[in-house]
Amino acid sequence: MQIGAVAPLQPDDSVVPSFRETAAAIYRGTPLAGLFLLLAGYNEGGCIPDGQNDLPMAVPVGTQIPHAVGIAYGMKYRQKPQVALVFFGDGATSQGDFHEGLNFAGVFNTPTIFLCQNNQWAISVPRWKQTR
Amino acid sequence: MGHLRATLEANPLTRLQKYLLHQKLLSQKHLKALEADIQGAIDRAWQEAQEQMASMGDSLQMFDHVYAEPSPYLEAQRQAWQQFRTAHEEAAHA
Repeated sequence: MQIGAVAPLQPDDSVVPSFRETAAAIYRGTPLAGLFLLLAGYNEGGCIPDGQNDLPMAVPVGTQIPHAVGIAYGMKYRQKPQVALVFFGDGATSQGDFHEGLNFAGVFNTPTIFLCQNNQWAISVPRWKQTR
Repeated sequence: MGHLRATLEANPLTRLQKYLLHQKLLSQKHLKALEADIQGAIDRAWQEAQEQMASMGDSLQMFDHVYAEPSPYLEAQRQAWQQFRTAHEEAAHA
């Protein structure tokens, strides 16, 4: 699913991950050794290689959504054709950041792709309890 | 446990692998070669990651600049990490 989402993007589009998009990161060019470093506790491993317009992983739930909308708004302001793709989970849709980001994207008509990976669990709470 | 089994059975990676084998779009031989390739890429990346970790200095440094003065609690964490690391290295060499 992650690969299917990022494969149609251009290299100069932006991918804004949450913290599960390892497959997308590898596809976009983040070195595997860097991902190992990051998981071993070295922040240096989270560095995105020069020329790859992606953001590093966002550990707080949902904070990356307004960032992606801001990047997309910047693309539009500069009259560039690029888009921003943001990943988040079903739990993140309970966050204020999600609602702010979507509203901002709607009001300013930004080129943002919102991708909700619904795994049916908001951390440890099932989706049916967390979201109506 | 039922949830885990259902999730494992629904795993799209294993389902796609089964489908490709069943449709004869992937042979066992090709699958073995792919898996060996992937394992090689993982081993090389982990080797590289370990070299980078070694080049970034002693991991005990992470406790040095948390506060201006070391606190007893932090010192206990530092010692616990040092002991854990030594035990882990000894186990790895055994």
